Amino acid sequence: MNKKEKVTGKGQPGGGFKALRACFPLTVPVMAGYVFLGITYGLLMKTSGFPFWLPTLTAAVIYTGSMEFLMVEILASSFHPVSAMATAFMVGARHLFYGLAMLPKYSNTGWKKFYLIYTTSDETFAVNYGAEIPEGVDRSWFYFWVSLLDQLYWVTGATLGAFFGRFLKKQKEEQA
Amino acid sequence: MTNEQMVITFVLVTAATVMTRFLPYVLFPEGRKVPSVITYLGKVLGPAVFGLLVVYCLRNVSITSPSHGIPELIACLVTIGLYVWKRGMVLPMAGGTIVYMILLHTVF
Repeated sequence: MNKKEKVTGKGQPGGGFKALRACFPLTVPVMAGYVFLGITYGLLMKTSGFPFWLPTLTAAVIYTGSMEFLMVEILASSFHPVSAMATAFMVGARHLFYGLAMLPKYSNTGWKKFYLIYTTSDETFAVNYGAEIPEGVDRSWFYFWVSLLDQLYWVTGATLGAFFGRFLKKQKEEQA
Repeated sequence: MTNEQMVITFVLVTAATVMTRFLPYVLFPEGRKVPSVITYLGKVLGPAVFGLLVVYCLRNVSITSPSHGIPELIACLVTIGLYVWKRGMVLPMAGGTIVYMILLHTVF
């Protein structure tokens, strides 16, 4: 195995800032998509009457755009826990394929592995699956930064949308 | 739904989503050798899903409809052409989408 790919602790050459610089350009298209879609999501949640912190919470914890949009309707309707869970399984079934595909690439990533798996979204999977890690860059850090940045974009978008929604509501109330 | 019911729903949905993400890694832990079928699937499923998505995207395009599927065809060709010419992801995606939108709103 390539020595530069070995994953240990801090101060690992090819990790940290070098990996961040290497992977950032790849996440720019994701940033555009996630921030705008996230704003839409946050707005939708807020204007549907949910608290302003809920989009941020779902963005951090559920982190699946399709399911989060569905949650707006699910939470607004009557209590059907089994059907909600079944829907989440079906909507999330594609993650099974992502996991299979990333099995080899996410191996030997140490403590980061939990976060890498937890935040495997469509776009993160696409970027990490197709990425050619440059020489001297630590693979696990590369994947980690991509996953972290992508989630930050989504959480930021959702939070912004929630605040815009709150602002819109206040404006409406002032005009009324 | 009461607040408690919403919390339960939230937790269940989160649990299901988390399970879909972690299940492959639980079934095939790092120490043991992954069955070659699974490795094969891992390599092949990515492109297979892309093929599925293309078909899914174009499944409702009808040749007998007024536009005869021509804007879709042109947009697909533009996307393919841009990719063959310049590679990368952003240009083919943006170019194809813009061409399609323009065609829809002006010509067809």
